[in-house]
Amino acid sequence: MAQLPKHRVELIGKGVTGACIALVALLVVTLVAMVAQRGIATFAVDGIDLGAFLTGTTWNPHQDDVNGMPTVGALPMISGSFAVTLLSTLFALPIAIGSAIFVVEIAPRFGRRVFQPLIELLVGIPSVVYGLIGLTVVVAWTRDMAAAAGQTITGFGIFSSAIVLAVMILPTITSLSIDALAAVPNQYREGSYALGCTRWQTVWNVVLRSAAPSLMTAVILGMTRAFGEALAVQMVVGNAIQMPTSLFTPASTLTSVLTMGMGNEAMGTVYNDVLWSLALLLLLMSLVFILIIHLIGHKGGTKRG
Amino acid sequence: MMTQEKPLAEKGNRAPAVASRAEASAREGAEPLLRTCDVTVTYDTFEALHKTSLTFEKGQVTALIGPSGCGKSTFLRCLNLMNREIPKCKVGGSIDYHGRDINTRSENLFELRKSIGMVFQQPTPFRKSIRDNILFAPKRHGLVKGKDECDALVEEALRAGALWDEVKDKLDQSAHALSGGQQQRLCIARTLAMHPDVVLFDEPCSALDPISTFSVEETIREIAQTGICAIIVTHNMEQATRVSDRTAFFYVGDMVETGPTKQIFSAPKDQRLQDYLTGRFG
Repeated sequence: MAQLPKHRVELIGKGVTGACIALVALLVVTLVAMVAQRGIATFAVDGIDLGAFLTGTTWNPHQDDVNGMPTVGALPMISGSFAVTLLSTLFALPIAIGSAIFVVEIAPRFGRRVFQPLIELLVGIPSVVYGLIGLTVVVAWTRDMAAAAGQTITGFGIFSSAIVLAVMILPTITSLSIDALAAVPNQYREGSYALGCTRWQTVWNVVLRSAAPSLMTAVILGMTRAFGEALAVQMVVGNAIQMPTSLFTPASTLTSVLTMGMGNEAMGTVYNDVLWSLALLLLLMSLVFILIIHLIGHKGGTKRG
Repeated sequence: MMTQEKPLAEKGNRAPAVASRAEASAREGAEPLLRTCDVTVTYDTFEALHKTSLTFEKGQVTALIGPSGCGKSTFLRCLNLMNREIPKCKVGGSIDYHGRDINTRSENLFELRKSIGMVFQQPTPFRKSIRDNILFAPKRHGLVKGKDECDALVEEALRAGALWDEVKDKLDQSAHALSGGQQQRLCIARTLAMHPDVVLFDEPCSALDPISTFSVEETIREIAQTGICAIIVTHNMEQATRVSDRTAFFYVGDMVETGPTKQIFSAPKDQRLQDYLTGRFG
């Protein structure tokens, strides 16, 4: 008789944890399904051409084109999103790798005690704060620099967004790079030292090389964050839905258009559906990024073995 | 024993070494290649190695034996100043190499390690092709130029490491695809590509299977015959008898006894060495 309650407790435990898993799985599936359903409706129900959506350069949902369809070319914000993502990664990467090298190879004690907590603090700052600082400092600075060079610009645009995003993704890339370098076995370093290589030669040719797959993962995770960031970007990008022709003119990204547009339109309208398509595009891009990370992980795993 | 210097070993601008080498040969080899005098090692406050004096000759294999933690690896790592890479590790005493004390602050360790190579317990090929593993250090140090010179060096080093026949058709494949024994021989070949005159082996076979162990031991004998001074740390006593000419026994931070390998194993003088050889500890 004493067995029974124990057995029941086991069952309850299994039931509760199982329900948690089921709930999470359901959440993911319904979320993806809903975004996909509404996003695809643009093309399936409203009859907008997918090619025109992906390659069109004019965004004017309230004006019909020659075919009587709303003009919803998403290329301006697609290219805007990619531009800010790549540029911000370009800004952040050298600094992140540089500080990771310093922390792991040169001053490990300082790194663990001072630098890493500092970096973690940066992760915790809300994005609206970054946006605010970007708006008051970066945008103004860009404008002033241009004025000094004899150009008149607003300061809003891809360049300012990339700087703000670079600061935002810096902690992510840095702390993952630190982990990546620290995971390189010490034997590799000693092997290089034993051949008469200097510290710099060792770091550059052996440590970074061995850590390359993990570093790639760090970069892509940073890019994922940059690609999906909405609020801070929207505050500094200028929100002009036009093909970006310069880094210093107002532009827009997928996320900024979404945050600006959502809530202004009723569910079921074509404009609303198109916004869902943008969301679907974002979701798919994130999935691609995550897929790449998994592929790299597998490749690195087999190579190491 | 080979008295002729290997020509390529002279590359790389070691003017003082060359001078003292000429001096040494003038005295008909009276000067040992490498000699330690009262070398001590302390980690922070712990003295891991007490005053140790040993001499190593060209073309000779010396085995350093003893139970775990006896200081034999620590001693080995003094010889190419590898202990400098460990924070709070201090090495005292003098280490004469070609008649010149290298345990000084002014010694250029990077130059030194070109001629005193080291092979570790775990094979550590870099994440590169077999060819690039061999050429890694020579290229960094600017010792080879042009494709022909590179190819020649790769073949020479791999032959010296007894690996050429197994890998000659896949030089551009990843070194990580090789077996453990092949990786270790690649590391030996990589070291030999620098034309060192001393090679330090830190338990080179403890991660290998018996067949690989045999081929690595044979490689060590062969490179000693070319005049290289080989020093091997091992806790495998059979290995010491198979591979070495001289043996030094370490125990709890002391170099207890040294002599020709035969004598050490057949007529040990010190009680601790006798106990170790009969398996009473260690």
